[in-house]
Amino acid sequence: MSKFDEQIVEALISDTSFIRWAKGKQPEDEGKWMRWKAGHLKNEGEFNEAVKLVKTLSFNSSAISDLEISYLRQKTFNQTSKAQSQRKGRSLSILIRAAAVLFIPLLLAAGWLFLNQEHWKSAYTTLASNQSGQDVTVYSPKGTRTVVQLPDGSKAWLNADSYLTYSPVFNSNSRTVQLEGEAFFEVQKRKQPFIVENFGPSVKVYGTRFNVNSYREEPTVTVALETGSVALQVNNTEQYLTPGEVSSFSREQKSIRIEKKDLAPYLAWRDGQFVFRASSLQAIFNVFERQYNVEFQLEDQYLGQAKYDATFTNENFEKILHLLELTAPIQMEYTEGYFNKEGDYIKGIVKVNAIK
Amino acid sequence: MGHSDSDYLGDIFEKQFRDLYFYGMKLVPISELVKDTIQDLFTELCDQKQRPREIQNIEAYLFVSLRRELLRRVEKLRKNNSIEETPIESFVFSEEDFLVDKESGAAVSQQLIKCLDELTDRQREVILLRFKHEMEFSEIGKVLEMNVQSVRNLLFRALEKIRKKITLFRDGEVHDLEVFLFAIFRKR
Repeated sequence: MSKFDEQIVEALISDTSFIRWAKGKQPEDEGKWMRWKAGHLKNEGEFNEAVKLVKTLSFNSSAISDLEISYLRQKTFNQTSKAQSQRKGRSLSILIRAAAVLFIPLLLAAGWLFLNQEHWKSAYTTLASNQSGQDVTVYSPKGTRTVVQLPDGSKAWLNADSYLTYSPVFNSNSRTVQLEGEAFFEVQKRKQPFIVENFGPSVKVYGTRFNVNSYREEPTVTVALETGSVALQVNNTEQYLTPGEVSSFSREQKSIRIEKKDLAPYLAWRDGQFVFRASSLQAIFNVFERQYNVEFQLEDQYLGQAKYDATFTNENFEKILHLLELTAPIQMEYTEGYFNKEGDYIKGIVKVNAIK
Repeated sequence: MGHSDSDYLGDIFEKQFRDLYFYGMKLVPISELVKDTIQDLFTELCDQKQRPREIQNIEAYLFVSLRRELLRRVEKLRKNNSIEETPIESFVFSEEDFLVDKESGAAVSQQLIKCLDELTDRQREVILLRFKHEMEFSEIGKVLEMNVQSVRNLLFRALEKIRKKITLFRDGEVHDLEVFLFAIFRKR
Protein backbone atom coordinates (compact mmCIF):
# COMPACT_ATOMS: atom_id res chain seq x y z
CA MET A 1 0.00 0.00 0.00
CA SER A 2 1.32 3.42 -0.89
CA LYS A 3 2.10 5.93 1.81
CA PHE A 4 -0.76 8.10 2.99
CA ASP A 5 -0.43 11.52 1.37
CA GLU A 6 -1.49 14.33 3.69
CA GLN A 7 -1.37 16.82 0.85
CA ILE A 8 -4.17 15.12 -1.01
CA VAL A 9 -6.47 15.43 1.98
CA GLU A 10 -5.44 19.05 2.30
CA ALA A 11 -6.15 19.78 -1.35
CA LEU A 12 -9.62 18.24 -1.07
CA ILE A 13 -10.46 20.15 2.09
CA SER A 14 -9.27 23.32 0.38
CA ASP A 15 -11.90 22.84 -2.32
CA THR A 16 -15.24 24.30 -1.27
CA SER A 17 -17.08 22.29 -3.89
CA PHE A 18 -15.72 19.14 -2.24
CA ILE A 19 -16.90 20.17 1.20
CA ARG A 20 -20.33 21.08 -0.07
CA TRP A 21 -20.63 17.84 -2.00
CA ALA A 22 -19.50 15.72 0.94
CA LYS A 23 -22.07 17.47 3.11
CA GLY A 24 -24.70 16.46 0.57
CA LYS A 25 -25.44 20.08 -0.26
CA GLN A 26 -24.20 20.04 -3.84
CA PRO A 27 -25.48 16.91 -5.59
CA GLU A 28 -24.70 18.40 -9.00
CA ASP A 29 -21.01 17.84 -8.25
CA GLU A 30 -21.49 14.11 -7.71
CA GLY A 31 -20.12 13.34 -11.18
CA LYS A 32 -17.12 15.57 -10.69
CA TRP A 33 -16.02 13.87 -7.49
CA MET A 34 -16.77 10.36 -8.66
CA ARG A 35 -14.58 11.05 -11.67
CA TRP A 36 -11.87 12.39 -9.39
CA LYS A 37 -12.03 9.20 -7.38
CA ALA A 38 -11.87 7.01 -10.47
CA GLY A 39 -8.90 8.98 -11.73
CA HIS A 40 -7.02 8.71 -8.44
CA LEU A 41 -7.47 5.07 -7.46
CA LYS A 42 -4.19 5.18 -5.58
CA ASN A 43 -5.58 7.89 -3.36
CA GLU A 44 -8.83 6.26 -2.38
CA GLY A 45 -7.71 6.18 1.24
CA GLU A 46 -7.06 9.91 1.29
CA PHE A 47 -10.36 10.59 -0.45
CA ASN A 48 -12.35 8.56 2.04
CA GLU A 49 -10.49 10.18 4.88
CA ALA A 50 -11.42 13.65 3.63
CA VAL A 51 -15.09 12.67 3.20
CA LYS A 52 -15.06 11.25 6.69
CA LEU A 53 -13.66 14.50 8.05
CA VAL A 54 -16.40 16.57 6.48
CA LYS A 55 -19.08 14.19 7.72
CA THR A 56 -17.67 14.14 11.22
CA LEU A 57 -17.55 17.91 11.35
CA SER A 58 -21.14 18.46 10.27
CA PHE A 59 -22.44 21.30 12.36
CA ASN A 60 -26.01 21.95 13.28
CA SER A 61 -27.57 25.35 12.83
CA SER A 62 -28.84 27.61 15.58
CA ALA A 63 -32.25 26.91 17.01
CA ILE A 64 -33.80 30.24 16.26
CA SER A 65 -37.22 30.35 14.69
CA ASP A 66 -38.19 31.87 11.36
CA LEU A 67 -40.75 33.97 13.19
CA GLU A 68 -38.10 35.44 15.41
CA ILE A 69 -35.83 36.21 12.49
CA SER A 70 -38.55 37.93 10.53
CA TYR A 71 -39.50 39.87 13.64
CA LEU A 72 -35.89 40.97 14.12
CA ARG A 73 -35.66 41.92 10.47
CA GLN A 74 -38.71 44.13 10.82
CA LYS A 75 -37.39 45.70 13.96
CA THR A 76 -33.99 46.39 12.46
CA PHE A 77 -35.14 47.87 9.20
CA ASN A 78 -38.16 49.80 10.38
CA GLN A 79 -36.10 51.46 12.97
CA THR A 80 -33.57 52.39 10.37
CA SER A 81 -35.98 54.05 8.05
CA LYS A 82 -37.78 55.86 10.86
CA ALA A 83 -34.89 56.92 12.95
CA GLN A 84 -32.18 57.55 10.47
CA SER A 85 -31.94 61.21 11.25
CA GLN A 86 -32.25 60.75 14.99
CA ARG A 87 -29.25 58.51 15.03
CA LYS A 88 -30.00 55.19 16.52
CA GLY A 89 -29.94 55.23 20.23
CA ARG A 90 -30.86 51.69 20.92
CA SER A 91 -29.65 50.86 24.34
CA LEU A 92 -27.69 47.82 23.66
CA SER A 93 -27.30 44.36 24.75
CA ILE A 94 -27.78 42.26 27.68
CA LEU A 95 -31.37 41.54 28.05
CA ILE A 96 -34.73 42.79 27.54
CA ARG A 97 -36.17 46.13 27.44
CA ALA A 98 -39.22 44.59 28.98
CA ALA A 99 -39.47 47.44 31.37
CA ALA A 100 -39.18 49.94 28.62
CA VAL A 101 -42.60 51.04 27.62
CA LEU A 102 -41.71 51.85 24.13
CA PHE A 103 -44.26 52.32 21.54
CA ILE A 104 -43.87 52.81 17.89
CA PRO A 105 -47.34 53.36 16.63
CA LEU A 106 -47.33 53.14 12.93
CA LEU A 107 -50.11 53.44 10.49
CA LEU A 108 -51.04 50.17 9.07
CA ALA A 109 -52.96 49.55 5.93
CA ALA A 110 -55.72 47.92 7.86
CA GLY A 111 -54.47 47.02 11.25
CA TRP A 112 -54.05 48.79 14.47
CA LEU A 113 -52.39 47.90 17.57
CA PHE A 114 -53.79 48.97 20.80
CA LEU A 115 -52.76 48.29 24.29
CA ASN A 116 -54.90 49.66 26.98
CA GLN A 117 -56.12 47.76 29.97
CA GLU A 118 -55.47 48.36 33.59
CA HIS A 119 -53.25 45.53 34.62
CA TRP A 120 -51.92 45.00 31.16
CA LYS A 121 -48.48 46.42 31.23
CA SER A 122 -48.21 47.61 27.71
CA ALA A 123 -45.45 46.15 25.71
CA TYR A 124 -42.73 47.10 23.42
CA THR A 125 -44.13 46.39 20.08
CA THR A 126 -43.04 47.16 16.62
CA LEU A 127 -45.26 46.90 13.65
CA ALA A 128 -44.25 46.91 10.09
CA SER A 129 -45.94 49.46 8.00
CA ASN A 130 -45.94 48.82 4.38
CA GLN A 131 -48.49 48.92 1.68
CA SER A 132 -47.33 45.71 0.10
CA GLY A 133 -49.12 43.66 2.71
CA GLN A 134 -45.98 42.03 4.02
CA ASP A 135 -46.64 40.03 7.16
CA VAL A 136 -46.49 41.71 10.52
CA THR A 137 -44.96 40.06 13.55
CA VAL A 138 -45.78 41.23 17.03
CA TYR A 139 -43.59 40.13 19.90
CA SER A 140 -44.51 40.28 23.54
CA PRO A 141 -41.20 40.16 25.41
CA LYS A 142 -40.50 38.29 28.61
CA GLY A 143 -42.17 39.91 31.56
CA THR A 144 -44.94 41.50 29.51
CA ARG A 145 -48.31 40.75 27.98
CA THR A 146 -49.68 42.44 24.91
CA VAL A 147 -53.07 42.90 23.30
CA VAL A 148 -53.17 42.84 19.54
CA GLN A 149 -56.15 44.00 17.56
CA LEU A 150 -56.25 42.07 14.32
CA PRO A 151 -57.40 43.49 10.97
CA ASP A 152 -60.76 41.68 11.11
CA GLY A 153 -61.60 43.05 14.55
CA SER A 154 -60.54 39.88 16.34
CA LYS A 155 -58.35 40.28 19.37
CA ALA A 156 -55.36 38.33 20.60
CA TRP A 157 -53.87 38.54 24.08
CA LEU A 158 -50.24 37.57 23.80
CA ASN A 159 -48.51 36.09 26.81
CA ALA A 160 -44.85 36.70 27.68
CA ASP A 161 -42.19 35.71 25.17
CA SER A 162 -44.66 35.05 22.37
CA TYR A 163 -44.72 35.90 18.70
CA LEU A 164 -47.79 36.41 16.55
CA THR A 165 -47.51 36.88 12.79
CA TYR A 166 -50.38 37.91 10.55
CA SER A 167 -51.06 39.68 7.33
CA PRO A 168 -52.15 43.31 7.71
CA VAL A 169 -54.84 42.55 5.14
CA PHE A 170 -56.48 39.19 5.63
CA ASN A 171 -57.27 37.60 2.32
CA SER A 172 -60.77 36.69 1.29
CA ASN A 173 -60.45 32.92 1.81
CA SER A 174 -59.08 32.71 5.29
CA ARG A 175 -57.70 34.64 8.19
CA THR A 176 -54.43 32.96 9.07
CA VAL A 177 -52.09 33.80 11.91
CA GLN A 178 -48.96 32.06 13.15
CA LEU A 179 -48.23 31.68 16.81
CA GLU A 180 -45.12 30.79 18.71
CA GLY A 181 -45.81 31.07 22.42
CA GLU A 182 -49.17 31.53 24.11
CA ALA A 183 -52.20 33.59 23.15
CA PHE A 184 -55.86 33.86 23.98
CA PHE A 185 -58.01 34.67 20.98
CA GLU A 186 -61.37 36.32 20.76
CA VAL A 187 -62.37 35.78 17.17
CA GLN A 188 -65.01 37.82 15.37
CA LYS A 189 -67.64 35.81 13.52
CA ARG A 190 -66.97 35.84 9.79
CA LYS A 191 -67.55 33.59 6.84
CA GLN A 192 -63.86 32.94 6.35
CA PRO A 193 -62.27 30.57 8.85
CA PHE A 194 -59.74 31.97 11.30
CA ILE A 195 -56.70 29.69 11.44
CA VAL A 196 -53.96 29.58 14.06
CA GLU A 197 -50.84 27.81 12.87
CA ASN A 198 -48.56 26.59 15.66
CA PHE A 199 -46.19 23.78 16.60
CA GLY A 200 -49.13 21.36 16.73
CA PRO A 201 -52.24 20.87 14.60
CA SER A 202 -53.65 24.06 13.10
CA VAL A 203 -56.68 25.43 14.92
CA LYS A 204 -59.59 26.42 12.70
CA VAL A 205 -62.48 28.51 14.00
CA TYR A 206 -65.21 30.83 12.81
CA GLY A 207 -65.98 32.86 15.89
CA THR A 208 -65.08 31.89 19.42
CA ARG A 209 -62.85 32.36 22.47
CA PHE A 210 -59.96 30.01 23.06
CA ASN A 211 -56.37 29.75 24.29
CA VAL A 212 -53.40 28.25 22.43
CA ASN A 213 -50.15 27.41 24.18
CA SER A 214 -47.36 26.55 21.78
CA TYR A 215 -43.92 27.51 23.06
CA ARG A 216 -40.83 26.36 21.24
CA GLU A 217 -39.32 24.89 24.41
CA GLU A 218 -42.43 23.03 25.59
CA PRO A 219 -43.10 19.44 24.49
CA THR A 220 -46.88 19.85 24.40
CA VAL A 221 -49.19 22.18 22.50
CA THR A 222 -52.50 22.80 24.25
CA VAL A 223 -55.70 24.36 23.01
CA ALA A 224 -58.37 25.26 25.58
CA LEU A 225 -61.81 26.26 24.39
CA GLU A 226 -63.91 28.69 26.39
CA THR A 227 -66.90 29.30 24.11
CA GLY A 228 -67.91 28.38 20.56
CA SER A 229 -66.28 25.59 18.64
CA VAL A 230 -62.86 24.94 17.15
CA ALA A 231 -61.58 22.31 14.75
CA LEU A 232 -58.06 20.89 14.98
CA GLN A 233 -56.57 19.75 11.73
CA VAL A 234 -54.93 16.43 12.58
CA ASN A 235 -53.67 14.33 9.66
CA ASN A 236 -56.19 15.58 7.12
CA THR A 237 -59.10 15.03 9.44
CA GLU A 238 -60.74 17.49 11.76
CA GLN A 239 -61.25 16.93 15.44
CA TYR A 240 -63.61 19.21 17.27
CA LEU A 241 -63.45 20.69 20.74
CA THR A 242 -66.54 21.64 22.69
CA PRO A 243 -66.48 24.36 25.37
CA GLY A 244 -64.60 23.26 28.49
CA GLU A 245 -62.42 20.85 26.57
CA VAL A 246 -58.65 20.95 26.26
CA SER A 247 -56.56 19.25 23.60
CA SER A 248 -52.98 18.28 24.34
CA PHE A 249 -50.77 17.49 21.40
CA SER A 250 -47.48 15.73 22.02
CA ARG A 251 -44.98 17.17 19.55
CA GLU A 252 -42.71 14.19 19.85
CA GLN A 253 -45.26 11.41 19.50
CA LYS A 254 -47.53 13.47 17.24
CA SER A 255 -50.49 12.24 19.22
CA ILE A 256 -53.43 14.18 20.51
CA ARG A 257 -55.62 13.82 23.57
CA ILE A 258 -58.86 15.70 24.14
CA GLU A 259 -60.32 15.95 27.65
CA LYS A 260 -62.86 17.89 29.61
CA LYS A 261 -60.87 19.87 32.15
CA ASP A 262 -60.81 22.74 34.56
CA LEU A 263 -59.88 25.62 32.25
CA ALA A 264 -58.45 27.85 34.97
CA PRO A 265 -54.84 26.73 34.50
CA TYR A 266 -55.09 27.62 30.82
CA LEU A 267 -56.87 30.94 31.02
CA ALA A 268 -55.79 32.45 34.32
CA TRP A 269 -52.66 34.08 32.94
CA ARG A 270 -54.70 36.89 31.41
CA ASP A 271 -55.71 38.02 34.88
CA GLY A 272 -52.17 37.87 36.19
CA GLN A 273 -52.81 34.55 37.89
CA PHE A 274 -50.82 31.39 37.73
CA VAL A 275 -52.70 28.17 38.17
CA PHE A 276 -50.79 24.91 38.01
CA ARG A 277 -52.33 21.44 38.14
CA ALA A 278 -49.95 18.50 38.41
CA SER A 279 -47.27 20.61 36.78
CA SER A 280 -43.64 19.66 37.10
CA LEU A 281 -41.48 22.15 38.93
CA GLN A 282 -39.53 22.58 35.71
CA ALA A 283 -42.72 23.56 33.85
CA ILE A 284 -43.52 26.04 36.62
CA PHE A 285 -40.00 27.49 36.37
CA ASN A 286 -40.40 27.82 32.60
CA VAL A 287 -43.51 29.91 33.10
CA PHE A 288 -41.82 32.17 35.65
CA GLU A 289 -38.75 32.59 33.47
CA ARG A 290 -41.00 34.07 30.81
CA GLN A 291 -43.20 36.06 33.16
CA TYR A 292 -40.49 37.61 35.29
CA ASN A 293 -37.59 37.47 32.87
CA VAL A 294 -35.34 35.56 35.22
CA GLU A 295 -33.30 32.44 34.85
CA PHE A 296 -33.62 29.41 37.11
CA GLN A 297 -30.42 27.49 37.59
CA LEU A 298 -31.06 24.03 38.96
CA GLU A 299 -28.33 22.39 40.96
CA ASP A 300 -29.60 19.09 39.67
CA GLN A 301 -32.13 18.45 36.92
CA TYR A 302 -34.04 15.92 38.99
CA LEU A 303 -35.20 18.77 41.20
CA GLY A 304 -37.45 19.90 38.37
CA GLN A 305 -39.31 16.61 38.05
CA ALA A 306 -41.54 16.71 41.10
CA LYS A 307 -45.16 17.66 40.38
CA TYR A 308 -47.18 20.32 42.12
CA ASP A 309 -50.57 21.96 42.32
CA ALA A 310 -50.32 25.66 42.99
CA THR A 311 -52.20 28.91 42.51
CA PHE A 312 -50.61 32.33 42.71
CA THR A 313 -52.67 35.48 42.47
CA ASN A 314 -50.95 38.76 41.74
CA GLU A 315 -48.13 37.84 44.04
CA ASN A 316 -44.79 39.51 43.62
CA PHE A 317 -41.97 37.32 42.49
CA GLU A 318 -40.14 37.08 45.79
CA LYS A 319 -43.34 36.08 47.54
CA ILE A 320 -43.88 33.38 44.93
CA LEU A 321 -40.39 32.03 45.48
CA HIS A 322 -41.02 31.99 49.19
CA LEU A 323 -44.29 30.08 48.75
CA LEU A 324 -42.57 27.58 46.51
CA GLU A 325 -39.86 27.02 49.09
CA LEU A 326 -42.52 26.28 51.70
CA THR A 327 -44.06 23.52 49.62
CA ALA A 328 -41.18 21.99 47.69
CA PRO A 329 -38.04 20.50 49.21
CA ILE A 330 -35.86 23.17 47.69
CA GLN A 331 -33.94 26.26 48.66
CA MET A 332 -33.68 29.21 46.36
CA GLU A 333 -31.30 32.09 46.20
CA TYR A 334 -32.48 35.05 44.14
CA THR A 335 -30.22 37.71 42.70
CA GLU A 336 -32.40 40.48 41.35
CA GLY A 337 -31.98 41.83 37.85
CA TYR A 338 -30.69 45.37 37.50
CA PHE A 339 -29.77 48.06 35.05
CA ASN A 340 -26.07 48.57 34.71
CA LYS A 341 -24.32 51.88 34.07
CA GLU A 342 -24.97 51.61 30.39
CA GLY A 343 -28.66 51.21 30.90
CA ASP A 344 -28.68 47.55 29.97
CA TYR A 345 -30.84 45.20 31.94
CA ILE A 346 -29.05 42.29 33.54
CA LYS A 347 -31.39 39.38 34.05
CA GLY A 348 -32.18 38.12 37.55
CA ILE A 349 -31.00 34.65 38.53
CA VAL A 350 -32.57 32.10 40.85
CA LYS A 351 -30.31 29.34 42.06
CA VAL A 352 -32.29 26.26 43.04
CA ASN A 353 -30.75 23.77 45.45
CA ALA A 354 -32.03 20.70 47.23
CA ILE A 355 -32.49 21.11 50.96
CA LYS A 356 -29.41 19.73 52.58
CA MET B 1 -31.18 55.30 0.89
CA GLY B 2 -33.47 53.77 -1.66
CA HIS B 3 -36.24 51.47 -0.60
CA SER B 4 -34.68 48.65 -2.56
CA ASP B 5 -31.46 48.84 -0.55
CA SER B 6 -33.27 48.06 2.65
CA ASP B 7 -35.08 45.20 0.95
CA TYR B 8 -31.78 43.94 -0.35
CA LEU B 9 -30.19 44.11 3.09
CA GLY B 10 -33.33 42.70 4.68
CA ASP B 11 -33.12 39.61 2.49
CA ILE B 12 -29.47 39.15 3.42
CA PHE B 13 -30.43 39.62 7.05
CA GLU B 14 -32.98 36.84 6.83
CA LYS B 15 -30.63 34.55 4.94
CA GLN B 16 -27.56 35.12 7.08
CA PHE B 17 -28.98 35.65 10.54
CA ARG B 18 -28.83 32.03 11.66
CA ASP B 19 -25.21 31.64 10.57
CA LEU B 20 -24.09 34.94 12.03
CA TYR B 21 -25.90 34.13 15.26
CA PHE B 22 -24.34 30.69 15.48
CA TYR B 23 -20.88 32.11 14.93
CA GLY B 24 -21.45 35.04 17.28
CA MET B 25 -22.73 32.78 20.05
CA LYS B 26 -19.61 30.66 19.73
CA LEU B 27 -17.43 33.73 20.03
CA VAL B 28 -19.35 35.36 22.89
CA PRO B 29 -22.14 33.25 24.35
CA ILE B 30 -24.43 36.12 25.38
CA SER B 31 -27.54 35.79 23.30
CA GLU B 32 -28.96 39.31 23.56
CA LEU B 33 -25.59 40.89 22.93
CA VAL B 34 -25.10 38.84 19.78
CA LYS B 35 -28.59 39.59 18.46
CA ASP B 36 -28.19 43.30 19.12
CA THR B 37 -24.79 43.44 17.53
CA ILE B 38 -26.00 41.74 14.37
CA GLN B 39 -28.93 44.14 14.13
CA ASP B 40 -26.64 47.12 14.61
CA LEU B 41 -24.31 45.93 11.88
CA PHE B 42 -27.22 46.03 9.47
CA THR B 43 -28.41 49.38 10.78
CA GLU B 44 -24.95 50.79 10.12
CA LEU B 45 -24.93 49.33 6.64
CA CYS B 46 -28.18 51.17 5.96
CA ASP B 47 -26.76 54.40 7.32
CA GLN B 48 -23.49 54.50 5.51
CA LYS B 49 -22.85 56.26 2.26
CA GLN B 50 -21.58 53.30 0.33
CA ARG B 51 -24.37 51.34 -1.25
CA PRO B 52 -24.57 47.86 0.27
CA ARG B 53 -24.62 46.28 -3.16
CA GLU B 54 -21.17 47.66 -3.83
CA ILE B 55 -19.61 45.81 -0.94
CA GLN B 56 -17.77 42.86 -2.33
CA ASN B 57 -18.51 39.60 -0.60
CA ILE B 58 -20.92 40.97 1.94
CA GLU B 59 -21.14 37.64 3.81
CA ALA B 60 -17.46 37.69 4.70
CA TYR B 61 -17.71 41.39 5.45
CA LEU B 62 -20.46 40.65 7.99
CA PHE B 63 -18.39 37.99 9.74
CA VAL B 64 -15.39 40.29 9.97
CA SER B 65 -17.47 43.15 11.37
CA LEU B 66 -19.40 40.93 13.75
CA ARG B 67 -16.23 39.51 15.25
CA ARG B 68 -14.61 42.89 15.69
CA GLU B 69 -17.71 44.55 17.14
CA LEU B 70 -18.55 41.69 19.51
CA LEU B 71 -15.07 41.62 20.95
CA ARG B 72 -15.11 45.40 21.33
CA ARG B 73 -18.42 45.35 23.18
CA VAL B 74 -17.41 42.52 25.49
CA GLU B 75 -14.25 44.40 26.35
CA LYS B 76 -16.32 47.46 27.16
CA LEU B 77 -18.78 45.48 29.28
CA ARG B 78 -15.91 43.97 31.17
CA LYS B 79 -14.37 47.36 31.87
CA ASN B 80 -17.67 48.55 33.29
CA ASN B 81 -17.87 45.40 35.37
CA SER B 82 -21.15 44.57 33.69
CA ILE B 83 -20.02 41.03 33.17
CA GLU B 84 -17.91 38.80 35.29
CA GLU B 85 -14.16 38.90 35.21
CA THR B 86 -13.87 35.27 34.24
CA PRO B 87 -12.80 35.12 30.65
CA ILE B 88 -15.44 33.98 28.21
CA GLU B 89 -14.65 30.65 26.67
CA SER B 90 -14.96 30.89 22.94
CA PHE B 91 -15.71 28.17 20.44
CA VAL B 92 -16.69 25.54 22.93
CA PHE B 93 -18.74 22.88 21.22
CA SER B 94 -21.27 20.53 22.69
CA GLU B 95 -23.11 17.56 21.29
CA GLU B 96 -26.07 19.60 20.16
CA ASP B 97 -23.83 21.67 17.89
CA PHE B 98 -23.52 18.68 15.59
CA LEU B 99 -26.03 16.97 13.38
CA VAL B 100 -26.96 13.55 14.61
CA ASP B 101 -25.42 10.93 12.43
CA LYS B 102 -27.96 8.19 11.94
CA GLU B 103 -25.45 5.36 11.82
CA SER B 104 -22.79 6.22 14.35
CA GLY B 105 -25.00 8.04 16.85
CA ALA B 106 -23.89 9.99 19.87
CA ALA B 107 -20.73 8.11 20.78
CA VAL B 108 -18.72 9.63 17.96
CA SER B 109 -19.85 13.12 18.89
CA GLN B 110 -18.66 12.62 22.44
CA GLN B 111 -15.22 11.63 21.26
CA LEU B 112 -15.18 14.44 18.76
CA ILE B 113 -16.05 16.97 21.43
CA LYS B 114 -13.30 15.68 23.68
CA CYS B 115 -10.94 15.92 20.78
CA LEU B 116 -12.02 19.48 19.90
CA ASP B 117 -11.58 20.50 23.51
CA GLU B 118 -7.92 19.67 23.22
CA LEU B 119 -7.45 22.14 20.37
CA THR B 120 -6.87 25.88 20.82
CA ASP B 121 -9.83 28.25 20.40
CA ARG B 122 -8.31 29.57 17.21
CA GLN B 123 -8.06 26.09 15.79
CA ARG B 124 -11.68 25.44 16.66
CA GLU B 125 -12.67 28.73 15.11
CA VAL B 126 -10.92 27.98 11.86
CA ILE B 127 -12.63 24.59 11.72
CA LEU B 128 -16.01 26.24 12.21
CA LEU B 129 -15.38 28.85 9.55
CA ARG B 130 -14.21 26.30 7.01
CA PHE B 131 -16.59 23.40 7.66
CA LYS B 132 -19.77 25.10 8.77
CA HIS B 133 -19.56 28.46 7.08
CA GLU B 134 -17.62 27.16 4.07
CA MET B 135 -15.38 30.19 3.93
CA GLU B 136 -12.41 30.39 1.61
CA PHE B 137 -8.96 30.67 3.18
CA SER B 138 -8.63 34.29 2.09
CA GLU B 139 -11.93 35.13 3.80
CA ILE B 140 -10.93 33.29 6.96
CA GLY B 141 -7.68 35.25 6.84
CA LYS B 142 -9.64 38.47 6.95
CA VAL B 143 -11.78 37.33 9.84
CA LEU B 144 -8.84 36.11 11.90
CA GLU B 145 -6.43 38.81 10.68
CA MET B 146 -3.91 36.25 9.51
CA ASN B 147 -2.31 35.53 6.17
CA VAL B 148 -3.58 32.70 4.03
CA GLN B 149 -0.63 30.43 4.66
CA SER B 150 -1.04 30.71 8.43
CA VAL B 151 -4.73 29.93 8.09
CA ARG B 152 -3.90 26.78 6.14
CA ASN B 153 -1.32 25.68 8.68
CA LEU B 154 -3.68 26.34 11.54
CA LEU B 155 -6.48 24.34 9.95
CA PHE B 156 -4.46 21.39 8.74
CA ARG B 157 -2.60 20.97 11.98
CA ALA B 158 -5.95 20.86 13.79
CA LEU B 159 -7.43 18.42 11.29
CA GLU B 160 -4.46 16.09 11.60
CA LYS B 161 -5.11 15.84 15.31
CA ILE B 162 -8.76 15.09 14.73
CA ARG B 163 -8.00 12.57 12.02
CA LYS B 164 -5.80 10.59 14.34
CA LYS B 165 -8.78 10.25 16.66
CA ILE B 166 -11.09 9.39 13.81
CA THR B 167 -8.75 6.58 12.86
CA LEU B 168 -9.24 5.33 16.38
CA PHE B 169 -13.00 5.35 15.81
CA ARG B 170 -12.39 3.05 12.90
CA ASP B 171 -12.03 0.11 15.26
CA GLY B 172 -15.51 0.90 16.39
CA GLU B 173 -16.71 0.65 12.83
CA VAL B 174 -15.44 -2.86 12.51
CA HIS B 175 -17.68 -3.74 15.38
CA ASP B 176 -20.57 -2.14 13.57
CA LEU B 177 -19.80 -4.24 10.53
CA GLU B 178 -19.76 -7.40 12.61
CA VAL B 179 -23.10 -6.53 14.09
CA PHE B 180 -24.38 -5.84 10.62
CA LEU B 181 -23.18 -9.16 9.22
CA PHE B 182 -24.51 -10.93 12.27
CA ALA B 183 -27.90 -9.35 11.69
CA ILE B 184 -27.94 -10.50 8.07
CA PHE B 185 -26.89 -14.06 8.80
CA ARG B 186 -29.25 -14.42 11.67
CA LYS B 187 -32.11 -13.52 9.40
CA ARG B 188 -31.37 -16.31 6.99
